[in-house]
Amino acid sequence: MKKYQQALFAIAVAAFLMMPRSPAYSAEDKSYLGGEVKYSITHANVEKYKDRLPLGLYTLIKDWGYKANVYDTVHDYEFPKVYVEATEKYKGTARVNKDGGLENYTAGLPFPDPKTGAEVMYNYEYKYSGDDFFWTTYDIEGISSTGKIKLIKGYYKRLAYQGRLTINPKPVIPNSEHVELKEISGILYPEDIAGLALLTVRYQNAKKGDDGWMYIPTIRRVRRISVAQRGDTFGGTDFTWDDYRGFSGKVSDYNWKLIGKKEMIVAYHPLTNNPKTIGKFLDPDKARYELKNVWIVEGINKDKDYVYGKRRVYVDADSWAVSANDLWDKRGSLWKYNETGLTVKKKDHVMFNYYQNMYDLIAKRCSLAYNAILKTNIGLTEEDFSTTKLQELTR
Amino acid sequence: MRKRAGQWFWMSLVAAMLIGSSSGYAYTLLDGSLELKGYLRDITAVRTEDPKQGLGGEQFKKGEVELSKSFLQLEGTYTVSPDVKVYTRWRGSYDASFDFKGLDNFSRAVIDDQRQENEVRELYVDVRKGPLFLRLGKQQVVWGESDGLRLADIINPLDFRWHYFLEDWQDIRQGLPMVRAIYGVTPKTDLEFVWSPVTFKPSKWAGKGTYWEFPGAGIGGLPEKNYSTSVNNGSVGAKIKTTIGSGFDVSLYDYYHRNENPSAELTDAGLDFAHPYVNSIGGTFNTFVDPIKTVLRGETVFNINEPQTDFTKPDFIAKQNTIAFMLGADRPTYLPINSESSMLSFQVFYKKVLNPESTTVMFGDSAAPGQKSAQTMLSGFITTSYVYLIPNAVLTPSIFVFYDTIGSGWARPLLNLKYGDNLSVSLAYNKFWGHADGRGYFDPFSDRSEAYIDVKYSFQ
Repeated sequence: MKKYQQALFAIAVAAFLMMPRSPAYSAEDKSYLGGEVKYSITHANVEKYKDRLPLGLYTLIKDWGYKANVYDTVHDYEFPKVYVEATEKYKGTARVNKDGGLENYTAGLPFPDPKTGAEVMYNYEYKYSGDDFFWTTYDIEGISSTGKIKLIKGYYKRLAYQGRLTINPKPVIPNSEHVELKEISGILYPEDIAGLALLTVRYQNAKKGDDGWMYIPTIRRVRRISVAQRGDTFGGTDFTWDDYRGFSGKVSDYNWKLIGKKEMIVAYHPLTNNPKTIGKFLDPDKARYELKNVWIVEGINKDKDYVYGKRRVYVDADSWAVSANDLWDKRGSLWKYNETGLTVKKKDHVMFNYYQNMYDLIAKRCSLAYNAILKTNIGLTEEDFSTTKLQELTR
Repeated sequence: MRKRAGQWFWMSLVAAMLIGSSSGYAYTLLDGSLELKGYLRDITAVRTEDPKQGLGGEQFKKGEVELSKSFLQLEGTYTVSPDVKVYTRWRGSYDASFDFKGLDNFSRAVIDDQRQENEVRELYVDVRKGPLFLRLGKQQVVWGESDGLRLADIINPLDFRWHYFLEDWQDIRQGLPMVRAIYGVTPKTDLEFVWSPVTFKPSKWAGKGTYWEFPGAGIGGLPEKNYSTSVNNGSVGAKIKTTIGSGFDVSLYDYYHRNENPSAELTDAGLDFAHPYVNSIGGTFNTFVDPIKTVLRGETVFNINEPQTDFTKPDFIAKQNTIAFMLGADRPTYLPINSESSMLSFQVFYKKVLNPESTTVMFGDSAAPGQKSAQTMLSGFITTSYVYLIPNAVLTPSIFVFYDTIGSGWARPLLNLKYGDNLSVSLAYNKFWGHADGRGYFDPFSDRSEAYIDVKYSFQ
């Protein structure tokens, strides 16, 4: 390479590297900003509120120096009329079979008056989320015990095959395999895993495992994969594949126990979808906590090798979205705390995870998912969840 | 000499480390329509065994650096509209091992061919129109289910020059100008058509005197046969893929192409190399078997008139029909070495000459003509990731073993450390061993074991 070519090359590389990077994505909905802090829970007074706190949140405040600002409780979530009508129309028809699967479900909330842990979790699974939804982007920051940060940027889209109320075909996309849903989860950053995309098909049959196809950029192929090990970490973060949205495992893979319904202090109506971190946790002044009625359910995976020994799920009684999880390891030690910053997207009648934190209470690290942009009922079709679509990603 | 020649690259590397060291978002231009990413990489390998005579690469002694290659790769995607995208990938590289060894040890032609690289490896446009997806331009097309050996993945020829088959194949496939069309008949069924209208590229082999020169004393680099840009040198293929029931994927394909590997040919002008046409017909399948939590996959190919050099033939070429298949199984499994699951993957390959004459047509066995008409190979791969051992880093050990049942093999233990978003460091050892009689797929490389370090800094 001649000297002038070397110089031109170096200039080109430098110019490329100094190009502005795309800015952070802005939040869609900020209608719940503001309000007065009623009281703050800190290390000094945490014992007073212990019974009202998820165990993981209590540990964060007690041992990590975290603070929870508690605001007035706001009940602003309403199901759309069509969902309420479907719930009434099909009330009493759904049931949980001996394998833990859901039978005879058509649409609406399966169990308006749940009596078991599994029924609560199926209410979460079939809460109103639109016939499809698309997180066009989200970020996950990994904050290690030494405070270093790494970033994953991804997207997630999902198509409901059952309980459809808005977009034809309704209430079911006809198929002979009894599909419950299809989803694609993809990675946009960092470069070495950018382009990775996983298509998952979940079936209604409790005994039939999920099917998975993954486009792997380094081999440039759509590869059939086993998605059986949903307890593996997601991209090296503290989240597992089952932790998505508070819980994204298959309900029938667990034995559930209903602990009860109780007023608890949980994250709700966060002030931003782009919170900053302070040290190893979310800036407490960007979070917001409220005293909310939640259903408390404990689940133990039927697979004895599963990564968690037990999960305790806190399900918001207004919307049936998951507010928080306490997660134990197989030795019985409290391992992780998962908090979803739920907020209401009123226009679409959906709950939206403004952020989602996973704190590793043993390794003293956390992963913060935020910056999500949510779209629902955008008309995604079966073609959008095919291996053909994954093939388009092939480079 | 080396210092001057490699200066531009290392300046770029330092600039990238300094400027791009923070976690960030994609580099974009034109309101986000143009997205750029890339990486800087250096791989340095050292020979770990004394050379045997007659296998090639003898001038590199034990402990010598036989590969010191630095890369800069840039990728750009320009989104014209949601249905039209343009993609390009450029790579430049410099192999300093030539300078370490001394340029006097290589011919000028070999140095010019292998020391530097400056190539647009892919440049194509994607167009989606309803169920039809078109990709037009220089590209790679990957078919099949196999890892490590290629039965259906035969559309793009490989470049074996700088690290033989030991790289990710996307980094050694040669892009071809092609038309690729995929038509989604239903969400479960695709029809695919691939046409490389006017271009044939043979596989590329390392030059004489280099470490990875083609095995066999004195043969050195295989001369590359140049084929003209003509419809007579194109290739064409089609594939249909569908999902049967809930999750049983099958495909059938046919690809008519010139054989990428050369065969000796006796012509009026003397000995030459040729790449006769082959028709490769085959199929693939994959499925997830829930009760055993295992993915089963397979692939088969029936090659009509596969050519092979046979000096017992009047024109030195034997064209024979062959059949080959692969059966594989992948299972993520919890092992008592990690709280994360470990991936276990196994494959068996079998190839048979259907009308054996006095020669063999194998995956690459060095058997003499007539010695055998079938070959079996096994492979195994185990990997897991440790996300908690080192703060902000993921440690991924793996081992890959390929074994030709005649008694030769290749094993690669590898340890990768990913630090933060951008930096990846791998330490690995490629161990080859051969059959006592000098037989088997890996025997020609049985003295070319190596240890290497691979450092990659990616940016986006």
